[in-house]
Amino acid sequence: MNNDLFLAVLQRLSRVPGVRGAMIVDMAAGVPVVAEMADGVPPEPVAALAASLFRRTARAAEGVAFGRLQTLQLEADAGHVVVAEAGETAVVAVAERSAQLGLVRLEVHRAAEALL
Amino acid sequence: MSLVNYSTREITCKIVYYGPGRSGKTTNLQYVHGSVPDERKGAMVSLATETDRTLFFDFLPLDLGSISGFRTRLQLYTVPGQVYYNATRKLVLRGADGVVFVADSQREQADENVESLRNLHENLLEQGFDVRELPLVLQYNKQDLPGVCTAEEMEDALNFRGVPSFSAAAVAGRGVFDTLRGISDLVLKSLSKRFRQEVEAGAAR
Amino acid sequence: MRREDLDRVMAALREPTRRFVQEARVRTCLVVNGAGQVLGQHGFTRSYEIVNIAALAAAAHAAAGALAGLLDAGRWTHLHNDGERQQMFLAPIRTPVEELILIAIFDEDSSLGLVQLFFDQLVEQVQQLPEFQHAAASGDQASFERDLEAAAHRILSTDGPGGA
Repeated sequence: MNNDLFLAVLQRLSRVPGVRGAMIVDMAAGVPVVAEMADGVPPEPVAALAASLFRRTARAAEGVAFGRLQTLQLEADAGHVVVAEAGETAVVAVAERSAQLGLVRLEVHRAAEALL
Repeated sequence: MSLVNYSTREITCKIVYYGPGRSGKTTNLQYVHGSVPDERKGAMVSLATETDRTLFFDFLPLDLGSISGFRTRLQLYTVPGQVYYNATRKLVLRGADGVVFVADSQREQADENVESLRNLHENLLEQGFDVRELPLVLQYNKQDLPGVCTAEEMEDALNFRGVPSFSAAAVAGRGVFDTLRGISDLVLKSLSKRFRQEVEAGAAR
Repeated sequence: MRREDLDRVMAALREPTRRFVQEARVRTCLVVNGAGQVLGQHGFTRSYEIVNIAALAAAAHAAAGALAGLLDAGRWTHLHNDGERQQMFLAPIRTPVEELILIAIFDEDSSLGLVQLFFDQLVEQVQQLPEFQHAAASGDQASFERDLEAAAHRILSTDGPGGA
């Protein structure tokens, strides 16, 4: 658990064009560990819901023998949320609709790997 | 369970005031708190409801000074009296060295007194106390009110164990310190007996 | 709280707490007032548990409040106990009239963050309820004991095993 590492990871992720915020979430508690969110994006609800959704979707994926869930992606009118797990934590990025989703996903994965 | 610290020569004993709701347990502690000089007492903590009914406990630490070379402290607790709070009463009873049963002398509370005494007995057994050995005194409170049961009637109804009993009107302070002295005596005698037994057992080894 | 008020208050709390249980994915929940009187429950099947949990939770809340005072910590937002099998979340619901206490028991199907999220919403809903805007004339101290007993009986006959 290294705060400097977490911050470095998030800062890199936040610089990706279109990313409005990034955070590292404690999956068990559903609370943010470190967050770099743009104004108006509340970290706590996002952390709780992202963690909950990821865990439940992961169980579903295992249930149909799809193996380990790697990424959870939500697409809504206003943007995307990408979640990738990193052991007991997860990396969450919130991006605008216009963001390059492939790039965001790549960077989220990179961030997750950096944490493991 | 009394805490005896041989190196610092301190003894701490826990005394619990038990009894039905509104029998005067908190009043006893409030009177003691109001009468004891500052250097002999700590702050009184009262965890109560908005209507001043004990919710969890009242707590009052007292310093009795030196007894046989040991700095002796008493921790007085009350329990919530209403039937509803039995789970909480059990918690407060843990580790008690002595119990003061505060009975309400009003005739209409006769059943409540009996039920509360039965409840005390049941909780003590459940927690593994030896009910024959645990220091217990009875206080017949509210003797100042008109038409209440006499001390003799209260004795007949409640004191089948023949423990020390005291008449009281806690609101006016009558009987409060007599009761406290009574239970402290019993608790310290019981401690001393245990201490002697331990010393003898140690010597025999 | 008089018995007539109790009915109205319990009815008013039913839907907000049901929604909280569902969205926060908790196993059981209790809503009590400061004296430990039960105003709502979901998910309990054994009656004796409710009364004991309610009394102990009210005591825990009172003790925590006293600690906060001694520590000059300011008011606690919640208590969280992380158990080996289940977790407990205990938090006050502050209304203009009185302070209620919510106790929620949850396991790995939920999380502290999720519970907090939907608890905050529950608080907003309860604070708006008309039943919590004005204090009804409270019963005298002699009716306090009766009301505690009545609450225990009532909660079991109306909300029944399994809750909503």
